[in-house]
Amino acid sequence: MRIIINGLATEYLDEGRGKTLLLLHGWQDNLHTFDKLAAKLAEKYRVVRLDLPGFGETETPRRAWNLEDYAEFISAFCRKLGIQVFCIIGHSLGGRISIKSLSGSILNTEKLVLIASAGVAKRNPVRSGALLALARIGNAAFSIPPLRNLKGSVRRSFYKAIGSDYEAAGKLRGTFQNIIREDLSDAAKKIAAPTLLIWGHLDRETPLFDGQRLSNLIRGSRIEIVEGAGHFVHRERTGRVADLILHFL
Amino acid sequence: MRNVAVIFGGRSAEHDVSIITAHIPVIETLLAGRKYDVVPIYISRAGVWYSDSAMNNLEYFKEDFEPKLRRLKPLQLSFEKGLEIIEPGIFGKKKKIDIVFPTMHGTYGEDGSLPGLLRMANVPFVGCDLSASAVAMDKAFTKQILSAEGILVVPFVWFTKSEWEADNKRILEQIARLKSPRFVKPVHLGSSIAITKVKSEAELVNAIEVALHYDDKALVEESVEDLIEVTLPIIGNNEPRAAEVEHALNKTEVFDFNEKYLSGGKKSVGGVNRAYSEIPANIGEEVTSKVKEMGKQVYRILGCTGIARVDFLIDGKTKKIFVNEVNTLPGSLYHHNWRKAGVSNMELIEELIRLAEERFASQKNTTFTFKSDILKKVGGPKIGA
Repeated sequence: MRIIINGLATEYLDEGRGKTLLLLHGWQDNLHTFDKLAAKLAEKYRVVRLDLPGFGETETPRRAWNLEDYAEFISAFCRKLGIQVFCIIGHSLGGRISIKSLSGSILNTEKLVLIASAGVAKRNPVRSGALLALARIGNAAFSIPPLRNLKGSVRRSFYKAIGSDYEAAGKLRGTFQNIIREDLSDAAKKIAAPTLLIWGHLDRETPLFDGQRLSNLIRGSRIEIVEGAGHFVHRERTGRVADLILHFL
Repeated sequence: MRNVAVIFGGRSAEHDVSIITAHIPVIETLLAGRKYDVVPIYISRAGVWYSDSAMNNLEYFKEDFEPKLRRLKPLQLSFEKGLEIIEPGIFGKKKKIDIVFPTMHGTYGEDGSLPGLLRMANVPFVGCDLSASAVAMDKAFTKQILSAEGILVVPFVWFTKSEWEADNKRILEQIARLKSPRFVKPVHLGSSIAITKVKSEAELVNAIEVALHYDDKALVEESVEDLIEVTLPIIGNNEPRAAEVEHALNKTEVFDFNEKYLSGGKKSVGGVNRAYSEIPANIGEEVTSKVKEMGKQVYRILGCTGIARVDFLIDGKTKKIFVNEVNTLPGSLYHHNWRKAGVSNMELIEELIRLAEERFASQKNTTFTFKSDILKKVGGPKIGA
């Protein structure tokens, strides 16, 4: 289904009946990442999910967005659909947006589930600073002929080596930079809603260490670790994740 | 050999579908016939014109072809002696185009823009002319004209984006007089883009916003329940000839873009997919005959020439037949249907070229200019006084 939110044609799905669960997907993903999970949750709840701006079939914003823009967008989406969200469930980037939304006054929900959520600095600031400096030096060095011809391939190799989505971000590069720049440690401390964190033991994108750190920051939260699963734990172990969520709710 | 230019792609949501129609069946049939030199002209999504003989092969477009386009120089056109293309290069060799086969769906093509350009260029071209194309592209105009001529259409309300923004209350009151459920449609877009079936007032406003996001004019119409949806391809100029009445069996509440073009996963079977069609439609002789008669009537009223397809909504209970819309460039020319009607691809393409030349010759016999002394009178006594 399609709806216009703040001038953007937005694709969403609305299934089931009962208290409303809002599902937010991750970076370069779309609402179908939750197909299997939503089917299980919709047996007892109303499950609403959408393609976030820039992903899936939802239009891309004309300027680079930051997390607050995404949070405001989610709030506008809920107002337009006339839904009072009981629990927000965010995976990866969706987790970042959820933390941002619930830490201020943008959105109020009774509960929060974070699945392999991003948002707290995953590596130490010294390493990030060093990589940023290296990227800047490289950019300057490879602007000089004849090295200029190698710039594209070296740049791709560099970002691949450090495990960054930056190269693949395309039109969303500005948005990507805005999002990863924002550390949500302080925001996480402000969350008052009961929170469940679900993490794949083998997650490489947002390592378990990040999850444990996030769990320490969110008062009264609980972390559940799923053995043998990676970053897309909700797809890899749908049954287990659904059980954890339903039990928590 | 005479040169036939097949123009496809374009600044339209149906850009990709156009590439399929151009190749299946048009280019592949023209090449097989070996009667014409086929000049493929591709217009990019940004509106840049290109031509390269490699584009005669559909494979050219299957992978990411942007890098290949970047190596080509845009095409230049000349209208000096009919339509000529100027090949990129220092000498800029000109090639005269004898006939154009437009296969551009939607905006800037099927909406009359391309026929208008080709009229200006004074070159014969296949398919409907400017006025029929422009009217058929606007679902509200089509219904208004047909209704005035006594053809049955479902009750509807139309409005522009600025009218909606200025006074949506008045428009909602008008819509409230239509029976529910209703369809909301942008009037100019094809392929079911942004069409929504609504059952409640809340859904209605959202659906209108979606339609007006993609178009500056929308319509809301009553839905026909117990629906039998049929379509009828027609060719001809003054003596329209109908193919078979076709019943689309993809019975979802409304086809969305993907379902309409890619359903069944048989991507290129017959070009635009028709895997679930019933040809001829099993609707009885009497209704079939009425549909064919109405189709030809509609074709004449809108001034269609060359080819068009008329879509009908039949109420399964009352057997009332409503005309839904007219498409002046049926996807892949509905060649699968013509085959069932006993017309091969070769016969279809050759007939369409013959019809284009017939119309062009007929237009040559029409006097478009006349001498007047109006310019001499400028600044003198009041004209018409």
